[in-house]
Amino acid sequence: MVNIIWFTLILIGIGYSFFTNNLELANTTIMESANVSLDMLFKIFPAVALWMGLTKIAEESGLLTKMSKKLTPFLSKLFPEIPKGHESLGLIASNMVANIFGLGSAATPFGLKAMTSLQKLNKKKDTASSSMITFLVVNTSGLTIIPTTIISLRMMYGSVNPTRIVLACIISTFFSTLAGIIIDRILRRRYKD
Amino acid sequence: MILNLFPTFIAMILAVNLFINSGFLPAILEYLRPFLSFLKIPVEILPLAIIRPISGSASLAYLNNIYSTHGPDSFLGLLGSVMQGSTDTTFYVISLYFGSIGIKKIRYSLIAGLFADLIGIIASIIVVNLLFN
Repeated sequence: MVNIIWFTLILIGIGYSFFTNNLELANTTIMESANVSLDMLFKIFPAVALWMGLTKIAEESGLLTKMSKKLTPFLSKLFPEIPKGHESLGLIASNMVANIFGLGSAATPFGLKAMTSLQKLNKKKDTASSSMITFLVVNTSGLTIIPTTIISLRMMYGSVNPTRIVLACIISTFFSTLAGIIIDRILRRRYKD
Repeated sequence: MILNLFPTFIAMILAVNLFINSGFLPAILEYLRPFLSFLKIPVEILPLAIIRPISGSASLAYLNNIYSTHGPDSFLGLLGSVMQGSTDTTFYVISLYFGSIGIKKIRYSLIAGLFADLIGIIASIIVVNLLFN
């Protein structure tokens, strides 16, 4: 289904460029895209590698188990089908902690590892499990308490009070995460595994 | 693992760039202008709301644009900051996370993710109006 959306974006892009006599631009965009994505991949690769290494350390030092124990009562309500003490809970907890502090680049490696770990529990390997979807919804609903990137960007543009938006961010994130959890509960019941 | 991601990645970037560079979005928004001003939603913020679930870097670039033309402490600047901060790149995360483990059927994840984003966007408009206006 996601593939259809990407495809639609491409169709609209090319169609509209054709319609406005701007196919030249679409052409250069296509040519440049491969280069741009390789550049981006090179840019994120060191960060991902670094955080992958750090997650390994956090795992072996027992930090992950500690964090997941703190979040367990909450997580076991959210993911009733994951067996208690399963490694994926620790990874999900770490992903959430990274997200809460607005560290997007640190959250991604934890998230990818959590997915790999959830895949081990998954019965149908080509179909998303309910726990995966719950994890994704909570993850994409924002979850940020300190939007580090935005604060630094506001600072860069000479804001008189860069952190003025923090409270508003927390309030609206609260609503979007809550809405995400509620709709996930409803849909989970409707589409049983 | 990084190499596994590359095809997904390249397709996403291609699609996003084609869509944004084509200028389709500003053209559509012109038609929606009267309806939006009736709801007291500034038209300038809409591209951010639409691009945000698709691409993090494109929406940051757009936020940069808002900051430089209207200033980070203007109403638009504040609204853009809160909107960016309380939503996430749902399409990107779903493609990346599911792509990395070979999931093809994503079931209801996109609907749920986009619903959360929509509520985040609506909440940010209401909260910013209440706190800063």
